[in-house]
Amino acid sequence: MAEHTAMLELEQASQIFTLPPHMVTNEQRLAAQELILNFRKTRMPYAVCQYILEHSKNDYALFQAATTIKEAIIRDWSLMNPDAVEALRAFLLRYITKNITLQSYVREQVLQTVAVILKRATLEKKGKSCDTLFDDVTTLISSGNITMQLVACSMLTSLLNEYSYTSRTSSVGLTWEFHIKCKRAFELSDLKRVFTFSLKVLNEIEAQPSPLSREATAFLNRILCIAEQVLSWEFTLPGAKMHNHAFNFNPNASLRPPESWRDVLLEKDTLSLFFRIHQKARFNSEMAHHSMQCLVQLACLNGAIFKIESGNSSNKAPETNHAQSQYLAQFISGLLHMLSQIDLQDYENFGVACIFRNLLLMFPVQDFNLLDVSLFKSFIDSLTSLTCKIGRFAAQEESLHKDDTIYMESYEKLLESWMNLVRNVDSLPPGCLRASATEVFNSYMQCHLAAPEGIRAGNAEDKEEEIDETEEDDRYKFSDQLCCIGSLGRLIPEHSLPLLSKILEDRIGQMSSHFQGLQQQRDLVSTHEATVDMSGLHALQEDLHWIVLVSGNLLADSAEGETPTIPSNIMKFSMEQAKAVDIPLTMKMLASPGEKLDPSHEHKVDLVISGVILDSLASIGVGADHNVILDSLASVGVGADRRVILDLMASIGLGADRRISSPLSVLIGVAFLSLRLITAVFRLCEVGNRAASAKLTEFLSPQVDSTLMWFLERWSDAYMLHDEMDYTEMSLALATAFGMDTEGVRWTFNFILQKIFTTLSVWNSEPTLISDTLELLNDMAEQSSRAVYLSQSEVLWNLARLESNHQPPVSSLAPQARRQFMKAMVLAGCGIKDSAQEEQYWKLLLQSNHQRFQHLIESAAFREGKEAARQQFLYLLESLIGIATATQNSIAKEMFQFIGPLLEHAVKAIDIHHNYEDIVTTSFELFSEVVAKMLPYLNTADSQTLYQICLSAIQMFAKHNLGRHCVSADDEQETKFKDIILIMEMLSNLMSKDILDFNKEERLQIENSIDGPTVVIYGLELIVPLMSAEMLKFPVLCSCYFRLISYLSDLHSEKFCQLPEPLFNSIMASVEHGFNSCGIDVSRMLFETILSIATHSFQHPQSSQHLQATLAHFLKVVFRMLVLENFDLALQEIGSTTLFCLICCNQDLYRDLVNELIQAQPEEFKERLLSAFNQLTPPTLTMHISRPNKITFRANFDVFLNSVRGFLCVR
Amino acid sequence: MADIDHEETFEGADSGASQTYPQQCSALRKNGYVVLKNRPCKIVEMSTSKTGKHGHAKVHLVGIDLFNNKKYEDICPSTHNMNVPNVKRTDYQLVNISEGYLSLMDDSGDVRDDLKLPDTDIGKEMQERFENDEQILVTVMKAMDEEMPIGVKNSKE
Repeated sequence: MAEHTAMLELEQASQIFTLPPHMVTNEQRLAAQELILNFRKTRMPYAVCQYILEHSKNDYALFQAATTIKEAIIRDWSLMNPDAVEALRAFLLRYITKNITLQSYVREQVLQTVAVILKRATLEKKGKSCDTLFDDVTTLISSGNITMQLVACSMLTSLLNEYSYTSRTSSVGLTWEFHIKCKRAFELSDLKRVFTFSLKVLNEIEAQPSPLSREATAFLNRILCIAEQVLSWEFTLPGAKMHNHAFNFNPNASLRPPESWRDVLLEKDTLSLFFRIHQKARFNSEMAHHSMQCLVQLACLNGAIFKIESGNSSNKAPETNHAQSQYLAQFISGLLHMLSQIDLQDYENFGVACIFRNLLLMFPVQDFNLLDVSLFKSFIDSLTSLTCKIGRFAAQEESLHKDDTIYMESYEKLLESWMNLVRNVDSLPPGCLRASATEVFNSYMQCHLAAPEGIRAGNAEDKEEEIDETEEDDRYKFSDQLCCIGSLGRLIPEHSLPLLSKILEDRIGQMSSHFQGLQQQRDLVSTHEATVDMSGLHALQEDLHWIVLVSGNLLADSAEGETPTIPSNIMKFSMEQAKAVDIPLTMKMLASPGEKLDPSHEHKVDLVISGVILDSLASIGVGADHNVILDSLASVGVGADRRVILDLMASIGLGADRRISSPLSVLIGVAFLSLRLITAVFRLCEVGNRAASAKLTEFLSPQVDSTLMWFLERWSDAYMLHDEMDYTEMSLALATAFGMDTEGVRWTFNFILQKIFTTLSVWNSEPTLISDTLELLNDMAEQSSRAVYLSQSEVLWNLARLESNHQPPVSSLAPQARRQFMKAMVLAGCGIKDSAQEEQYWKLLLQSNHQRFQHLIESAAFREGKEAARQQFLYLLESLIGIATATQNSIAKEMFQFIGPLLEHAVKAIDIHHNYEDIVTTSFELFSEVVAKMLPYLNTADSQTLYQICLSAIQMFAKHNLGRHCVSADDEQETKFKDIILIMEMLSNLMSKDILDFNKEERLQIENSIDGPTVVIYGLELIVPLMSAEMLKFPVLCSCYFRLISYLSDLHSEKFCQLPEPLFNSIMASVEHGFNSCGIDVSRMLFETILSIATHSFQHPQSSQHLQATLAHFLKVVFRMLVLENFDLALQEIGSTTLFCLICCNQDLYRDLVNELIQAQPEEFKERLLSAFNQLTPPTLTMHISRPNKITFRANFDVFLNSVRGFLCVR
Repeated sequence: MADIDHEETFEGADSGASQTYPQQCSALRKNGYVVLKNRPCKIVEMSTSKTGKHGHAKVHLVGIDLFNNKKYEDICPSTHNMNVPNVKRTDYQLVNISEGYLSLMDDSGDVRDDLKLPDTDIGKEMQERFENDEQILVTVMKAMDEEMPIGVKNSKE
């Protein structure tokens, strides 16, 4: 019997194949594998496979038999007669039910085979449809035998998997179009049946008494799993397009069923069933997950199911969508009911958080307004208490550094819910979020503050924990949370601002006394070993860090994107503050600081104001003169005596001895008083400054200062020099303190600069802090309006003078910081309006650098290559790079006059120090920056000079690198190619003048002139031979190289096409190589390159005969890629345009390719493909490269792809 | 490199040059040099860390010995000074290879025969290119009294 022999063979091979490695040789295993693979290819294998399934006892052989059927039936489909298909399917199902003890992997495979048969038959009926399957499932389930029931579940699951067209689907070699059609047909009928079916079973299980039996639990778990899969189904949208990700399962798909699902999903019992079922399932974490997921998906129900019937909708207002608001109301009552019944377990929190998030995300705010008032209130209350509770757990989890961050993730979902509410706060009843916002805000602060006010865990080990630089700073790590807490705080400024000010002032007070104590201790004890309560200090610093983080998020938005403005709630609050001040009473209170105020009067006093003044007096540490205080009060409202404010200023920064003009002091006083929180932050800066000058640096926290720098940057972006035109109303206090042309803003600039100055002096060993500090400086200098004020500050001139004398702190910055510093200094200099001053400033900043440079390169040590001299040279290069990056149009000419001659020396330095890669790479970095930042602004003569310098730099590089091979201590590739990368960057930048030229002078024709492309081509001749396929594997190098190539081919196609043949050919070979090995961005450049050549060749046919072979080759490559292979949709536009231009150059070849492709297709598709091609290039489209033709082709190509990809793309 | 006041050594003669000079840790840079465990190293990794969130920066250095490729690590507060070796690279004309030793001629025509042909790929390349009668230059690196031929390239003429 042939079948029996085949079975024995397969069994034997299966046995060998599955034996452990030491019992079988490699050859034996390969032979077995070969046999199995051959068996799988058997033609019409159904009889033999059935025989094996019925008779074999070897599981692996059974598995292979099932797989063989699955693969064969798709292949042989058209040859099979309907009865045979039906018989096979019936056999397989019967097989499963008869052999319920099969190994699960065998069973799944058999069931998958059944599912594939059913799916294949969806569009082309052969045998019975799913109906019989459902009958079988029903029978199995009603059998009451748990094994049978689980088999039934497996059947449904494999059906869902096959139809879902996700990675769970087996790969059967059918077209995308086929998969999608099946999926859609399934959604319309059988998917709903599966769901109704699962509902029925769930109802039955729900009716069973608790606790459920073991069997019922196992069954419930599987059924819930099926329900979850249905509810997470990504329904096919009408007009779905084939794309690369179509096949990936989308874990975030919202439940968006078609209208036909209304009766099941909007049926009241459905929702309540899931709430009830969850209460049964929740004691088992796995089941709880499935049932919770069902609820999470039900919470995001949306789409056509809620659409009003088209018949009635014409005269009804669309916004009254009762179905949706009713569903929401029902959901919320169900949810609240459930939450009131149970105490959430750990693993339930995330699900509940997601439910809240989904409801608030998916349902429009109007639906929430339609809710019963008390229901809405309970909903918000429930959200509030859950947020606070989970927030506390999240903080705990964070302090224990758990790997599992379930609470933190849940908390983030809940905060997302709040963000959705806050965004719509104007549509909600006024004030309805106030109490909750206060509670959530308070609880957040509590979680981040140390005892006694807070509950932050002060873990002793934490102090010893090593934190490396890859650890993200809290301001980024928790930016979403902080943003939400800031937004909630803005809803309640009358609570949040005073609260933050109060705790901040309190901590500053504690900090100051700490420092005083330390100072006294140091004076008494000779050594530093005296006991210092570092953990107390760190706790205080951690408090400060968080208070400043929250304050920054509350007061201002991140500067990324839009121009930041002062949030309107803060503005309103500031205006109300000014109104509320009861001046006489405040005065009275201040006049007698020892006396307790009559409590009945307390509310009338502006505590905000009095608090600040008292604090500031305290911080100067003087028992202040009562007269002075009295005077000051007059100034609060109208502006009177300046001495008091001077003292106030003394507390926040400027010594009282430094004279400030009277209007200034008054205005600042008013402003700061109305925004006490800002004053407090400034005081914190000042406390740090003082501790630093008292040599207490070792007790200071660089982290707190970093956070302060971040605050100042964020805050100043919104408040300093705000544009009054951006606001409908403006607080006079803010306008006078930080508006244009005010003394206040001048003072503030000076204050911030002073802080920067101190930080640079004290913290030069803290790279992160220095970088944050210089970023703040750059941020302020970058905007020209702010640069004006910076340049008027004495502190900036101090910095310039220090630079001129090469004194610390500016002379001792680390190399990277050096760049940032010089950049900021140059930008700030651009703000100087007075030309004499400007000249003086540049002299301070540049001349000294020039002299140091000259002095150095003339020194013998430098010529001999002494290490220290080289280091000094590198340091100077860093300064020059900083200067170059800051260059703007207005100063380009002057800066080039300064930097040009130094560049020539840099070329010589490359000659002298060619053996030192740091000198070579840093020099090329400088050239590249100068070319990028200055070239577009230079006049013809200066451009010539620069081109010449670049050319000689490349020549110098070439001179020392011919046949070069050198070993280095580390052969890290990235650094190895750095010089080449930089040269290519420089070359790319050299062409920028052809795109961007701000030079207004007449272009002169100079004899023997050279231009950008000449230098570039010279550079290419040098670099291309150094390139290899291996090198293109480095992403940076790869994109750098192809950017250069695409620029050159685009901007100078003439020159590019006339490159010497070997060079041209190796470039084009690298282009082809690039398509296979690089990402989208590079592919785009490659298309652009080909496009340029094709266009050039088309326009200049006489001079481009030599390009024909290349273009023909690329037509084939691009044709294949676009029509047959998967490519990223992002490339479709450029790809199709390129294809069009290539076709224009070579129409005959194109025709051949099309015919070839059509011939290769199965009959059924030939006709469709032919007509698709005819539509792609209809006779009306002339094969001439022009803009309109390209656009037409692009549109045609889009249609073309949609009509043919369905069957050309196979899985 | 910051504020290194080396004016005197600039003008001074070669004899006075020290093997190393001190530099603040935070001013070192990746791909620069440093002395670790008394060996001249190239810095291949440089990162900062701190003890506790409010602690001060420490610099973590990984260096590779310039001559024997051994890896060394060190960690120190970023305010501290580290020694940086004076590294010098000189090109010589390769005149001869005999009995495993290189004959090298410097710019002034002086010939030295004290350096061994390295037993590495570079060494093989020197040998091959020398046997092919190529005119080649050999780059010799010197740091902390140790010397080694490290590179080869075409002679400029």
